[in-house]
Amino acid sequence: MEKHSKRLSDASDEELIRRFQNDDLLAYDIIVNRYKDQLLNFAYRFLNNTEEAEDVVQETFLRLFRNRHAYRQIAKFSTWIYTIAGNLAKTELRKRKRRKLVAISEMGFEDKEYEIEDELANTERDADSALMEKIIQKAIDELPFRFKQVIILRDIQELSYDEIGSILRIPLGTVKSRVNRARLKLQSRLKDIKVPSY
Amino acid sequence: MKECGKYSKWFSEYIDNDLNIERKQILEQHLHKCSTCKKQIMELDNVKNSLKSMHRIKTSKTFDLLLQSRIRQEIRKSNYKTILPVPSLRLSWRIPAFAAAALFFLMLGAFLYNSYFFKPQVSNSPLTYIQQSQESGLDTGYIFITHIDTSHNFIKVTNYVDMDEFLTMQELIKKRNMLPLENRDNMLPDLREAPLGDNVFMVNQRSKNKPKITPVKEFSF
Repeated sequence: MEKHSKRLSDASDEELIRRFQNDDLLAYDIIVNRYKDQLLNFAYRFLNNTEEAEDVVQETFLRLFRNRHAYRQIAKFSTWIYTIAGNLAKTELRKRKRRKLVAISEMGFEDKEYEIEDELANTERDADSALMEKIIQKAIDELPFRFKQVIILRDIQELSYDEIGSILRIPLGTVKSRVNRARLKLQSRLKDIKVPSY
Repeated sequence: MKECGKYSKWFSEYIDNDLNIERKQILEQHLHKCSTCKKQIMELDNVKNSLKSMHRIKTSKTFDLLLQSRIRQEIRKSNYKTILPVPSLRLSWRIPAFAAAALFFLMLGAFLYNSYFFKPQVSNSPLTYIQQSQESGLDTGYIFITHIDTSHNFIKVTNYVDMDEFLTMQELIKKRNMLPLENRDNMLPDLREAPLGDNVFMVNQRSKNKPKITPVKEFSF
């Protein structure tokens, strides 16, 4: 059993899903452990809310469990699972708009946002990483949805242009154009913030 | 410069090292002459690094627990479970063809067994076992029967959780999340290992000397 588990943990995503389609639930376990954190990160950057993001990821894995036979090895497995998670996050955003509710964490953040803007208006200042991250997240939140999608997938999830195009079902040229425009928009918001050098 | 607009479309590909050689050379020639574009590229690179440097969040322990529970419910709905025969009764996720018949008879046996559960029986019924354990001081909480030894017709309590006065799993999770991280792991068993069916009990300490033991059909999440 242990040997089987060790072999499986090295298997590719496509091999794992194939095994899961043949009722190997250990393969499903491995897929969950492999993707749960990165999908959570992805959903969180969309929704800016940990609880909602966890719900989205839970639902993603449930849909994977129920609909495993729907996957065909034409596309990469990662494309498939990101598509599911992305659609769920998008649905959650739409629901949120319809409800016109603001999460407590968001309300708190917005209060702080006004403070930040006052402090940093027209000045160059170093910001500690937590503060900087809030500013960046806020800037991401303000992007139009089509730019938000690509910039999260490209610069946070570090997916390739090709993969982003597959997930969002848009041409490669459109992906590149949107990434560029998203970065330019973020640049104009963030230009007063210094980034730690690597 | 007017031509800067044309080149700005290539900026992201350039900093991603994704620009073809010809365009890269053209752009770099332009950058030698245009400090505005050069500055903008540096700022775009700055944005890219800012996003890359954002911390990565991880799923909570509750995430795993909840997902396991929801998967168990899915399995229950789709009748995926199977039980391998002696020497030990242990849940497996595969249903080989040759075990299908054994499964049927075993489920039938389990059904008949459970029908007579609360009636006085031989001393190694689960309820009797638990009641006997009171002498060694079983605390209140949920009891998960995670191992069944059919060769000896014996049900062993291998794990339980002390929950004090909690009545629902939600309250347990709430308390668990308040504990320091290092103390959380042992608080609940891996739900996947717990057999499905009427093998979960709750122990309430209604009075000091006489605990009340009742079966729990479903977890409340």
